[in-house]
This record gives sequence, structure tokens and C-alpha cells, in this order.
Amino acid sequence: MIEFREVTKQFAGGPPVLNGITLAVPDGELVVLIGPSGSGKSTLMRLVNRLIEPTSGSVWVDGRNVADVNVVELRRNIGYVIQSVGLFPHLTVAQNVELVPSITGVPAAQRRRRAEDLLHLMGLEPAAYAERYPRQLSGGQQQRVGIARALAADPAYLLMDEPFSALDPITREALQEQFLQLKRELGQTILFVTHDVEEAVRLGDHICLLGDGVIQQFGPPDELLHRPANDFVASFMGDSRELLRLGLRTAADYMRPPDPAARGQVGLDWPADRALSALLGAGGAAMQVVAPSGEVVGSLRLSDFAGSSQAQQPAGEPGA
Amino acid sequence: MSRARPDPIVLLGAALGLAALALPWVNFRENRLVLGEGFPLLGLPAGWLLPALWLALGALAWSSWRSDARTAWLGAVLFAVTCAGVSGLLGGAASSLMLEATPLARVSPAGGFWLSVLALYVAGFGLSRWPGAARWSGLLGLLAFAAVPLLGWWQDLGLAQEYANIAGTFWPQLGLHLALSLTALLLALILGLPLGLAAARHERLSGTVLGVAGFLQTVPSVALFGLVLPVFSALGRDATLGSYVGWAGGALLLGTALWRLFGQKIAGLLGGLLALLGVQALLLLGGLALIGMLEGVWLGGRSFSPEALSLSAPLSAWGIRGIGAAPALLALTIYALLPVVTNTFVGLRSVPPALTDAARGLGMTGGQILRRAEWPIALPFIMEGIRAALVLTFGIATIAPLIGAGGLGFFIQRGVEGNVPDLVLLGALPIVLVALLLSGLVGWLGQRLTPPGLRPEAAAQGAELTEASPEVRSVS
Amino acid sequence: MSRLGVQAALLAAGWAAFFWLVSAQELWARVMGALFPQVSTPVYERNTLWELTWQHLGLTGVTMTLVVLIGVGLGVWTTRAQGHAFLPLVNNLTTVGQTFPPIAVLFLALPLVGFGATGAVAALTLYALLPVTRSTVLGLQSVDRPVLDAARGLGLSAAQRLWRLEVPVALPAVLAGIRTALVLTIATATLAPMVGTGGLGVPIIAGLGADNLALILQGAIPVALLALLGDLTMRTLERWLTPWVP
Repeated sequence: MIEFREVTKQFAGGPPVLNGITLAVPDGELVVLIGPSGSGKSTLMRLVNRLIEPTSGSVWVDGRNVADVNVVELRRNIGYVIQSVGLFPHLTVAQNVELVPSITGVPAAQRRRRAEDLLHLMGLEPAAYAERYPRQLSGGQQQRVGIARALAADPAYLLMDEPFSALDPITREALQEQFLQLKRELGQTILFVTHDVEEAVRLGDHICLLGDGVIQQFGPPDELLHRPANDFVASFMGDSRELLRLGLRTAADYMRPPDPAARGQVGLDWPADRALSALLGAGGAAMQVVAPSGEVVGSLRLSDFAGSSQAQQPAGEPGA
Repeated sequence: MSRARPDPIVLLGAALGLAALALPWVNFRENRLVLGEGFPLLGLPAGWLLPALWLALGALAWSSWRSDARTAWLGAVLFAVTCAGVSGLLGGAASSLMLEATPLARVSPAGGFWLSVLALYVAGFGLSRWPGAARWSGLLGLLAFAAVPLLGWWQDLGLAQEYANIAGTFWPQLGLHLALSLTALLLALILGLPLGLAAARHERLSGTVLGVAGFLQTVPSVALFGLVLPVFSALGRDATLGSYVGWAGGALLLGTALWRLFGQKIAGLLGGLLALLGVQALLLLGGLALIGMLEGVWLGGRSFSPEALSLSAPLSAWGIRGIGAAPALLALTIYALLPVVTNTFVGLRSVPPALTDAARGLGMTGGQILRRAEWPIALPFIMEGIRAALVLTFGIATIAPLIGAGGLGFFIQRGVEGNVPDLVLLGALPIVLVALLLSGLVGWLGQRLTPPGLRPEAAAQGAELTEASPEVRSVS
Repeated sequence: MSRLGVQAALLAAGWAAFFWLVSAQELWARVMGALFPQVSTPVYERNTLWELTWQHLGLTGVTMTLVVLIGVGLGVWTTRAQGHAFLPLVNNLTTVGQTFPPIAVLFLALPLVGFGATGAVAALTLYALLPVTRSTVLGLQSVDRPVLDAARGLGLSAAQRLWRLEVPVALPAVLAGIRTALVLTIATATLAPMVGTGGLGVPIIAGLGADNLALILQGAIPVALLALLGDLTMRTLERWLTPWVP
């Protein structure tokens, strides 16, 4: 668990960037810090591994005040991934991943095996990539190595500062997908900074929206989209936030019993926005909902998407 | 490209080579005292050979059939023969003129020969850009040119006669020249690397440090030599070994104590500087002892006596007098400082901030980041600084003999005073050649020390690899 | 007054102080006599310091005029279509030439160009050409291709492109190259007496020969000041001519 208690941060001569922030990141969860630029989201994250010290208040990791923990030890237990990756240009991919283990004295064979496992996990075949230099990789490949490097010491926590922001849309989506899968497998507690609402909705178990130095709203993505706490949240989450919500659900959440008059098919596990798109494409007529087995399990029409949002919880939401 | 157009560079070289024939090829003097008389090449035996070679080379450059491999070979061979021709005709001219002259007569290369050398450089550079075997023209030409003097065919040239006169001291003076510049470089590194590091770490220091180093660089070398003379003159007269070592050691101890106490604060940094200067003073003494010993062994002269080790011995026993190696060493160190400091600074600043941020976030300590990230990335820059500093000190050491230190400048000075151009040449030519050699050597070392991931070819290769393995495929 | 104005005023004061210093022959004699009582000739007597200074300035002035004319001309010519074929040669020559120690070049050229003022100017010019040519080429090449294309597209002639676009863009680099050459020339001209001409090196060389510290300082101090003033003058000029450079 990462906890912020009444944290305030003020840089010399300026107004407070963070003003009395109290926030808890539960174990095994991914909490997204989001907000306009200058809202202090990166600052808040960098307090955790003490790249910045708070002006007042305290940060607790694993029930210990980070101010009392040896800074090097603290950081080695917290993986760190940044937008510009920061790979060492003079080291190969494998050497970059093995960087921290090589400092802490992990035997060469062991850390090499670990590096290869991680590269494999990140979709970079060690045989092809381990001996390359960072310059020989694309941006997406570099960030995969960056994540592998952060995971090398098997940290319980992960800090990610806009890790996918510099990538092109296709690469970014692919990496997000892969990262979600990885998160489920590894179960780290993750603090994730982004300025991209779609990315926040897609990845976050909870979203913490920062603005003017305070938390404007903290809650599951669905809540911020559907019940913004104030105008700031509503305007930041955007005018199409109800459409974004659809991405959190599947056709199964909206379907009604089978309708013989329905034509065309949508998949039961399709994201709801895709199903809606298919319905609009079919001219608004009812369509059949088909399970992966091919069995028709229900039907959908346009009116199903209206008015039902309050009743249903998004799929996959913890505690739902 | 099937039809090549005339190569203007090689043509320029051939034209220069032909123009050189209008100038005197060698200068002949009955003895050292009389004025010389110029002899054009065409009046000398086999002189017609060179214009023929240049014309052939020019014709080859003019023609449009040089793109095939055989023509490239022809070009390279023709060029090598021309090089040997220029070199051989110089020796030949000397031999034919010396046939009826006394041993006191001197034959020196004149304007025509020097212009021909320039023409060879131009033509060789042009040829080395041709495809195929012509790429080796430069090396081939150099070997052909050097083969002539190495085979002893320049023996009647004034240059060879002067060398025979001083053969015993030539290599020792070259050694002293090297010892002086290398010691200065070492001193500059010990002072300059920490200064560059401090400047890169502390924004407010950088202006001062780089400014002072740049300011010192502006002072003309002869003037700087002159300005440090009185200091050493006074030191040698009034100070003893004991007081010198005491002051230097005291500075070192006090500086280290301040550094330990205050660390990165201003008092700590000043302490660090004080300690460095103390080390410099001690190393300067060591360097002088070394140079003095080499001088004693190689050139006879005064040797190092055991009394100099006594604490009450005057510093003049260590070679610290007004004139001599001490002011030369200090002045050369000051000159070498700027390239070392600037390049260390620039190299460390070239490390991307994101990289150090990531490294800190991964739990690396300051020392680990310096050793594992900043140092390897800054190293190519630092090596470039070392190369520049070495060329600089080696060049400026030329005037060290003016203030009584050793070095190849000794022959230049004697040649200028005695009006013996060949002796001047005998000093200046090796300085240029060794400077080129050292520069190439350090440059090569710098390339070797550049981590493979930072070399330009890595990036080029990478572009290829990345294209071959698209991003999306490796995702699923 | 602007910062540049203050700088220019200080510079003018510096030059005035310099010329006063080299004209004060009496002062030198008294100060040096007091500092080095054991020396019989505390000042150089065959020429006044004023004459030596102007010899030095003349040598530097002639050399720098030649260097700027030839160096900039060569740089411009090799970056035009007419001289483009020679650009690699010039680049190689200036790179390799930089490795030659200037002092050695002075003496290497000596047997070729002969003793005397002409020889000194020729040797100094030969060497100082390198930084000016090199920086002119680098400066002119630093103009972005798209910007040049845009200028062409706007209908600017080749001459207009050179004067209105390339020269302003290249100016900071060219001026920096001239500054390097100037400092180098002032410094190397100190050795001119060894090749048979005058200048501020005369008392230095004489003093070194006679082990006379007073004479050495009489040459060394003015020549050091001259080099610093030359450097500062060029820097001020750079700031004035290219205010857009940070």
C-alpha cells in the first residue's frame, strides 16, 4: 500500500503545487494520477521514491514512512518507468535490464535468465533483441525494455510516469493491451501518471484527478465519467465521456432476450462501443448477440444504450 | 555512373604540379654564409620525368573512362610513381649538385618542391575518392614518397647532412619534447577533470571555470612563458625543498579537510580546489625531477644529486629556476587545461537528464551513476579534449627551448640564429609529423573507447533492423 | 545604457588605457628599474614600446585583412555551385591543417617564404586561414535546406539568397572563426622577431636571450593585454552584429 498523508509540496518562490493531498493506493491496484499539465501529478509520484521530498506531510510505503527508509533501498524496491525511457545508450538491451541486479551482486547467470524471461514477457525475443543497443530499437521497443528493466529486481511497486505518451497511437494501444495482461499476471501495486483520459479509463482501477493542487475526484473510472464531482472534472473528462464509458462494458451488459426479427450479429464479449458502432452501421435495426460458441444468446437495439447506464456496473470492476 | 566527368580535384593537383616547375626546385649554397642560388627542375638530370608523370595523371583525370577497376589501379600506381618521382628527384638533384661541390655546400628544397608536395596532397586526396583500388592511393603514395629517404637517397641533401651533425642529440631532444608535453597533459588532466566535473554539477560554477580557462588560453604562449618566469625565478632563489613541500602538503591537507567537512557547499569546493593545487605543486616537482633525470641521462649535463633530497636544499637544485623546464611545464599545463575542462564539461552535459533521472529512480547512487552512465558517455568527448590538448602542448613546447628547456625547438632556435634553414626544417618537420601521429593515435583510441551503442554505425544498423521487424507483429 | 553599450564603453576605455600604457616609456623605465635593480637595461632601447606595438598591430592587421578576404572568399566559393567540387578538399585541408602546430608552421614556412616581414605575414596568413575558412563553410552549410528552398520559391536570386539569408545565418560562426584567427595571429606574431621582423616579441626574445626579466615583461604584458583586448573586441562586435545569438 502507498499512502500520502496531508502531503504539501511547494517549490521555492511559487504557490504550492500540491496542497494537503491524502490518498491511498491499495495493494495490487493500478491508480492513475491524471490532471492538466502543472497539476502536480508527476510531483506527487516522485515523492514516493523520494526523487522529491515533501514540504510537509508524509508518504508511506508498506506501512513505513519513506523518509525513514534508506533512499537507495527504497528505490530498488520500487520500479520506475518514465516517458523518455532513459535507457543507457552504451549498454545492450540485456545489460540495461540487468543493470540493478548487476549492482546488487546477483550472479551473472541468474540475472541473465531473469532478463531473458522479462524480455520474453515484454514480447521481445531475447535471441533477437538481447544484444542490440537502444539506438537500434523503435520507441515502443525501447519502452518495453524500460518496463523490463523496472521489473528486473521484482519490485512490489511500480511508478510509471507517462510511459506510453511519446508513442504513436497503434504502438501505444498495443503496449497498453500487453501491459494490462502483464499487470494481471504479476500483481504489482502501480501508480500511473498520464494526461490522456482514454488511457486512464482503460488502465485504471481507480482514477485520481488532480487540479489546483488538490484532488478533484478519486474513484473508479465509471464514476468520474458518469458522476463528475464538479465542473472541473466534467470538463476535464470531456464531452464524450458517456461514449468512453461504453469502452468499459461489453455487449452482454446491455442485451435483452433473443429477438427473431433481429438481423446481423454482434459478439457477446465485444466492447459496448464496438457493438454500438455496428448497430449504427446497420441503420439502427435490432441485431443478434452471439456467444463465442456461436449460440444466439440475446439481441440488441439502439434504445438499449439509453437510460440503462445507471443500473449497471461496468464489467471487470473490482468490488462490483 | 557509367560516364565519369573530369575530376577537378585531381586536375587541380596536376596543374599545381606543373606550375611548380616554374619555381626553383632546390636551393644551392656554397657554404652556410653565402646566399643561395635556385635551380629549376627542368635543368637537372631526369627532370623531364616529373612533368610527364603529371601530364599522364592529368589526362587520366580528364578522361571519362576511369570508373572501371583497371583505370583505378592505373591511377593509384601512377600516383605512387609520381610521389616517388618528387621524392627521388629531390635527392637526385642534391646528389648531382653536390658532385662538384665541397662538403660545406648545402642543397635545400625550394619553392618548386614544396608546391609539388602540396600538389601531391591535392591529387592524392582527389584520387582516394575514386572507386576501387584508387582508395588506397594516399597510403601507397605516402609509402612511395617515404621509401626514397628511407633507402638513403636523400643523403646529399642539406637536411641529411645537418641530421648527421646532430644525430646524437636529435632523439633525446624529441624524447624531451614528448616528456614535457605528456607531463603537462597529465598535470592538466589531474586538475582539469575534477574542474570539468564541478562545472557540470554546479550551474553557477560553470561560467567562472570555463571563463578562467578561456581567458588563460588567450594569453600568447611566449608572453605566458615570460610572465611565469619571474615567479619561478623568485621560488628558486628563496624557497627550499622543505618549505615548498610543506606549503603544498599543507594546502593538500587543509583542502581535503575542508572538502570532507563541507562537501558540495562552496567552502568544500574551494577546499577541493586547494587540495588539487597542492597535488599539482607536488606533481610539478615530480615531473621536473623526471625531466631533469631524462636530460641528465640523454644529454649528459647536470645530473640529479642526492643533496637535492635534503629538506634544506634550494629548489633550484630541482630545476626550479627562472629559466628551464619549470616555467615551460607550468605554461603548457595552463594551455592544456581549457580543452580538458571544456570537453569534460560538454561530455557530462551531453548525458540526457532523463537517463540520470531513470538511474536515480532505479536506486543507483551518485557514484554508480557517474561510473556506469556519465563516465562512459562523456569519455569520447574527454578523449577529444585530450587529443586537442596534446596537439596544443606538443606544438607550444616548440618554444620551450627559448626559456632554456629541452625539445625539438632547440634545433629551430639554433637554425634561426645560425641562418641554417635545413636545421630549422629538421626541428619543425618532426614536430608537425609527430603532432599528426599523436593526434591520429589518440583519435583512434577515442574511437575504440566509444561504447558501441554510441557509435554512429549502430544507429544506421538499427534503422535497418527496426524496419525488418515491425512493431505490431511482436505484440500479440 | 544597454549592456552592449556598457561593454563597448569599457572596451574603449580598455584600449585607451592600453595605448597610454605602451606610450609611457618613462614609466616602464622607472617601474622596471625599481623591480629589477640588478638589471642594467630595464627597458628595450633600440625601439620605443610605442613603435614595437604598432609594428605588432601592423603585422596583425595586414595578416587579418588577407585572412578575412581569402578565407571568407574561399568559404563562399566552395559552397556555391561553381566551387562545390572543391569543398571536400577544402574541408580535409582545414581539418588536417588544424593539427599542425602554428609555431611549427611558422618555422616550416620559413625556408620557403624567406626571412622578413613578407615571410612572416605569409606564414601567419597561411595558418590563420584555416579557422576562418572552416567556420565560413560550416556557417554557410548550417542554413536549413527547407529554408533555402523557401527562399528560392519566394523568387530570391542566388545573390539575394546569399546576402539576405546565408550570410546572416553564417555570421556568428564566421565572426567566431575570425576571433580565433585574430587571437592566434596576435600570439604567433610574437615570434616574428625570430624570422626577422619586429613587434612586441622583440623585447621578449631579447630578454630571454640576455636573461633579463625586465625586458621579457615589457613585451609579455602588452602582448597579453593586446590578445585579451582583441578577443573582447571581437566578442563585443559579435554581440552587436548578431544580437539574435543567445
